[in-house]
Amino acid sequence: MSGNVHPLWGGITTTARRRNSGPKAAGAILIALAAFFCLAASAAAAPAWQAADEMRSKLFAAQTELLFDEGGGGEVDAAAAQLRGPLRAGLAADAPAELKEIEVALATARRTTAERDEVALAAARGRIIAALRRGAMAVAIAAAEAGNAARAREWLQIREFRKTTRFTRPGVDGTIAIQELAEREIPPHEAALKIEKDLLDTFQARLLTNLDEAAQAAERDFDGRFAETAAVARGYWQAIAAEYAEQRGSNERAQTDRDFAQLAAAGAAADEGAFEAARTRVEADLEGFTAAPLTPDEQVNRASQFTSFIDLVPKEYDKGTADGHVTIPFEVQEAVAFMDGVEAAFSDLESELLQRDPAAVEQIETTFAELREDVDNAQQGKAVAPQEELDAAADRAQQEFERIAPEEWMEGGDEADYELVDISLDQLEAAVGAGRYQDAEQARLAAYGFFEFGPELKLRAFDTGLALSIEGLIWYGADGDKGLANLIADNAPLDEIRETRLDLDEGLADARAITGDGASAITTITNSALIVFREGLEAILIIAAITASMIGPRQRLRRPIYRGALLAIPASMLMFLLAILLLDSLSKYGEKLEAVVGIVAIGVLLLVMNWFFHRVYWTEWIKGHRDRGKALTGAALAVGAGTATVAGLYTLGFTSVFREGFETVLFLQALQLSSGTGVVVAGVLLGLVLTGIVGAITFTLERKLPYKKMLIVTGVLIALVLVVLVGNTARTMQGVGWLSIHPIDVEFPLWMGTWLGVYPTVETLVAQLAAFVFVVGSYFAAEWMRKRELRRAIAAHEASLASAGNGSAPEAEAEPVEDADPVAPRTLSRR
Amino acid sequence: MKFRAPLTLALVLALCGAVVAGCGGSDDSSTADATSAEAGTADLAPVKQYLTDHSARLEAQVGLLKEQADAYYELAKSVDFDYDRLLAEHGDEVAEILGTSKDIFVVANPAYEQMEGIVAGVPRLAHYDVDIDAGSDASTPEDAVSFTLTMPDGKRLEQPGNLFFLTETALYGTNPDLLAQGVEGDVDGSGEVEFGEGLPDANIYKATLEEFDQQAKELNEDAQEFEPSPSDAMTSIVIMTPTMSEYFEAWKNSRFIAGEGAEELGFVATSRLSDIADILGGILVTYGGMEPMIAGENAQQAAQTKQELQSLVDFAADLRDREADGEKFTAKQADALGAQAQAQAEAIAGQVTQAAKQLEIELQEG
Repeated sequence: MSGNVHPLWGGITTTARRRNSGPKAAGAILIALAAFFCLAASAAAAPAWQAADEMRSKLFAAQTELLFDEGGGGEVDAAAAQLRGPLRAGLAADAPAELKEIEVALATARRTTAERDEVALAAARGRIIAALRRGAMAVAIAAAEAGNAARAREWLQIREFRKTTRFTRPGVDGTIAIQELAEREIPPHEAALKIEKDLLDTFQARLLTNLDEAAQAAERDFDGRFAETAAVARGYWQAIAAEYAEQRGSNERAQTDRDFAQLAAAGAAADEGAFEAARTRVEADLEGFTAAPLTPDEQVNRASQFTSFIDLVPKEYDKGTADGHVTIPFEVQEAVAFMDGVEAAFSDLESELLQRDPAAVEQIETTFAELREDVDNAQQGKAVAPQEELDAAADRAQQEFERIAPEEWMEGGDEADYELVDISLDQLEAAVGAGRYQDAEQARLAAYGFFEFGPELKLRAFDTGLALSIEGLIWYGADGDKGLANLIADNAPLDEIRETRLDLDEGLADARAITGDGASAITTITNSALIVFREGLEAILIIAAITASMIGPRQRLRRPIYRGALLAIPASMLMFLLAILLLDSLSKYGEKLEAVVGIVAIGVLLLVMNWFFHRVYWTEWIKGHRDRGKALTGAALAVGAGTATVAGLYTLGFTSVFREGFETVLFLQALQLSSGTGVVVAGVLLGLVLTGIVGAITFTLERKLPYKKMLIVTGVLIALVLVVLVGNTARTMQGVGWLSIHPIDVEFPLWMGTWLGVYPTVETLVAQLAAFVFVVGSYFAAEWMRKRELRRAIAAHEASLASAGNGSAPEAEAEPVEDADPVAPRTLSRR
Repeated sequence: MKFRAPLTLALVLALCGAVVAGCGGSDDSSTADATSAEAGTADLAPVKQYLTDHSARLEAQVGLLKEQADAYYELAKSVDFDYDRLLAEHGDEVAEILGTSKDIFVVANPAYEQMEGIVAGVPRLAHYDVDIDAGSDASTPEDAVSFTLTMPDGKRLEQPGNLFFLTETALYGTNPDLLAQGVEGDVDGSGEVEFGEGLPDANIYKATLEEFDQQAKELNEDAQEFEPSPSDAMTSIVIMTPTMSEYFEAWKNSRFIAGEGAEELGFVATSRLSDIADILGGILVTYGGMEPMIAGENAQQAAQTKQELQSLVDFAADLRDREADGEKFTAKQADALGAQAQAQAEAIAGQVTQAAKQLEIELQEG
């Protein structure tokens, strides 16, 4: 054999080679070409999601063509052609059963299309859609378990979503889990669990949706849709069946399998009667079952929603009805909205509660039916039930729920409060849209109430600035936005209200995020210390102002004030415990209690000021209770300072601290729930130390000041405290509806409200002005009275001197000139 | 040895195929991820332009409608609102006015519908949609319009329903409450009142168009000032896309499907399919502005949503064109078609929700 060595492959090119390898070479080349094109074809195959989407689309096109009496066969072939490449490979690896089912259903689709059986084709399409999604779930979960985030993400694109409405959005847990997996923030197994939970929840929700749609289609004789949706419902059942078996047992699962099979068969046969019977059975099978159980946090939130909303149903009903008539439809609508919330929250918890006490669950549902009928009848104008009926029903449902619910569910959370704020703001907008600004104002106050005695307590500890900003947006403005109170008072159009509402939503979303995430220990300690210090500072100012002039014989008067103040500390804590034990919700009474305490504190402070400035009054009062001619001593003072004065001083000290203490304990309780006792106690101690230092400085300084200067300083402090107290109390009274609100068009910095009680409304500013005028007026009135007495005394003295000089009998013994301040030196003789 | 050459060739070819396959798609598309997309920033300038073009158009068209309404009112006033006399003495003028108004209406309607996806989907502008196109009357307070009509004669109609509804049903005679009372509205003088003939009550009609003109002006002003954000864009897509079922339901109940038995008083001038196609067109523009940003995070997801949204737009447009060509759909066909559109729409909304979360873009409350 002869030949040359080929430069490319080194083979010897020989004639013999050419002669002997012809057919085999051709075969090898063919094989290679086939391999080449197979691989190339694979490269051109669409991603799994695209193939799946195309398959569904082509099958619908086939259905449509049959609906319109056109062809169809070509579309089914095109659909079947999608089952290749990545889609096929993925299903084959992790969902072989689903792949098989798709293949069988495609074969059925071909046959039924040829037979022009639109209903059977629709049923086949339903099976394929469900199998594709089940298979995709299996592949996505397997990919996540393997730590392959990219593959999981791609297969998650072949998924179903919960129904989107204007008010509800699909879940995103699966998507976030993959993101976290890709960024190595969570381990693969955890990501897989989250994806599974998201998808199982969706499958169950959509199963129910498809049952409803099947029923509607059956009613309207839309056989194709009937068959398709029934098939999808069965297919989605198969997605959650394994979880069902785990929770309920394999026997129950087998029974439900049979029920769903009968349901799908009824749909395929367009048998509405059989479908309804099967539907009743599957609904009973699924009663109380949740494929994706709630997390503990979610359970706590649902329970919190339940207890908040059930409490509000009869309250709103009460506001909107009277004497058997609907008086304010807006309020009745709120009752309906809260009833919707109650049922939704309970529904999510039902499966857990059924395991604990099925009889109680049934009883609660019976009560719901009564409440639902009552609120619906009122809303539709059919009938108005007696208020007692709703109160009793709501109480029954709540008591029964609290009896059977796990203790940890009752810990409460902020989510329900945020939702109540949202609901109230929605009602506010609806009212503005209808031009009912009074209703809008009521809704605004309700929103504020839910916020102030709900999330704000915690938020202030986490981010005081944000809390103030949100409050400002609800009231008089913040961050360049007019507040809702101003806007409603101005009858602003809806679009202006909406602008502020949007900014408020952003703030509330930030608040949710901040308080949900929890604060660091340092932040909690710092914030709780600041709360204690701030509230303590106010109390110190009042006490210092009152006690500053109590020196010498009057020093004993300090004791009842100090004792009253000390009593207020345990009283604050006791009041808080009583409120928790006896009252359903602190928020119902907290603000009103704050207003009452504020009014009492103002009253006592005014009395004390009256006593402080009216030295004549003081002198006259003392004169009535002691022997004439005796110098005013501490002992006499003790006798003269009778029970009324002492009681008043006790009350002053008590209310000064109690008002601050009550609020402080609320903040600290909210902090303790979220951050733990240790850090809160550390913060409290720090705050008390700071308060003690300031107190020591204050009390030391007031003793070292010259008497007159000390009086002036004291007077100024009392005036300041009174003005701030009046401003804050007026604002609180506006919040509970005891005082009207007339905003003024002036923007005050938020800190002026926090620290000086200055708010831009006529009522608060007028009240503060009146308090200031009273203070100043009291001082000048007292001075005028003192000087008048002085003049009289001088005149009497001169008259007696004149009489003595004229030899006439003295008319009367001159009264000793009594200085209004019995302790201060008698300046008259020195003059 | 004998087969070395062909086998080697076979191997080389197979290797080439493997290289090509490796460059293409596979079950693991990790290579086809975020890095394959171009710059991930939104471009919402076209969205703004689209919005302002349409808001200006709407203002202009409604202005023309108002002129016609004013002319109609003056005519009616000249005969002391005796509508029999009006038809007898000014029949031709009335027919021309109402005919012109209908022509303007079929231009004004899509001018709004094409931007409805943005207006209704963005919370800051959504109140216009309530008043102009979607709001109900006072019987449903939570969805009711915000305005009250004050007629020239002093009478008031509180929260009467949305402005397109009032205008259309008055012009086409489908709402007796808005028509001249006690008179046969035989506008064309044919001897009978045909479907689509209506003699509006001049007072109500004038008040309606005054309010409509005011709202259209305000919408245009706000649109000019509005700067869409990614949050606005994503929110509008998520809110508006799934409402297809309502729209298809309205289509199914309209005279285009149900004929004389139609329950729906509106959508007589233009089919709801036109509205659906127009709305989806606007949504597509909005998505186009966001697509680069979404693709920057997840190219495959962006591609899927684009494909499905385009498919839905084409689907609606195809139906609209077929209907416009005279094809009649049965209720069964309309139901099946609507269900398919709804399923697609909800999938799109779901995908965009996921994308928003990944991009940390807030979806506003509707």
